[in-house]
Amino acid sequence: MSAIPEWFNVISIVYYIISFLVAGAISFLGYKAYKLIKEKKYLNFSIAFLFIMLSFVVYALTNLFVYLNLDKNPDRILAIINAGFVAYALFTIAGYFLLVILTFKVRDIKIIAILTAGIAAALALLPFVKIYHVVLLILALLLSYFFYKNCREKKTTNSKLVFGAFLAMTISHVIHIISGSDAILFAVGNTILVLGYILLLIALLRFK
Amino acid sequence: MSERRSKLEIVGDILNAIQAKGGTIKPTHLLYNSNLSHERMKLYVEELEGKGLIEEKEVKDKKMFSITDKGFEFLASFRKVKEMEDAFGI
Repeated sequence: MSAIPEWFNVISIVYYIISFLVAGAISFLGYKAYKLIKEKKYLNFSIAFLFIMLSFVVYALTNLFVYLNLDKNPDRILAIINAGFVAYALFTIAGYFLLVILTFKVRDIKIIAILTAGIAAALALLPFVKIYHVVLLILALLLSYFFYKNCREKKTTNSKLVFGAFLAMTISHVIHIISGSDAILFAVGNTILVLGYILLLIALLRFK
Repeated sequence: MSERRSKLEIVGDILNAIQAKGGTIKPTHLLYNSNLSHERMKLYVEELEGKGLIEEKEVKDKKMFSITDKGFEFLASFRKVKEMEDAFGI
């Protein structure tokens, strides 16, 4: 797990709670759309944000566990931190990946299977902590490109907010890759990430 | 050339057309405003009636379609979904 500076622990928990609430609200709206229209794309959209929401739940709980010092056994603490990080990473990748499949309208099951196998192989064979950020960055770049095209086409404030949000997420992944063990850069990356979710929240509140 | 409308957009166009006429519309006007063939409009009308979103009425011996309260609620939710769909481009 990325080394979270102690002074940033509580702030990061607040960040993850904000992001969790926003992702959850979007997932709920997507599910409501699915119940209303019965089109599978809304269900996939809802599931994508549900995965993202779960990633923040896991991360916030793991940080909370460390912050509250609930266990004194260092081996168990390390195991929980590692498990929390892996779950967080997998949920985030699953959410972004589903969004990429949905936005780029990839319907060929063979292509989806090849992409899934490629990501799984990269995560299994290469150093997880490094490759996870790279995989997320690639997916975030694809999403940012799609949302940029969408905002050029729609020219609405909401589409601009969504593009801004995913651009912020992409930048935060770049910062996380270059941050290494730099605590300030780590905090900056997380702050930019939560700013992205705040942009999504503004878009959400604007839906009449 | 404009893109093919989704089912959601067609349903929204039908309900919007009825609302624009004050909540009640003649079948011919609905056909014109929804921009559908007679056969497809019939299918959509049957589905919307089945879901209780619109209802058939007799006004001065003429068949009319009215949007129901459930239909108005659907329309409000539809607009929200449409905004979400536009914002995310899905």
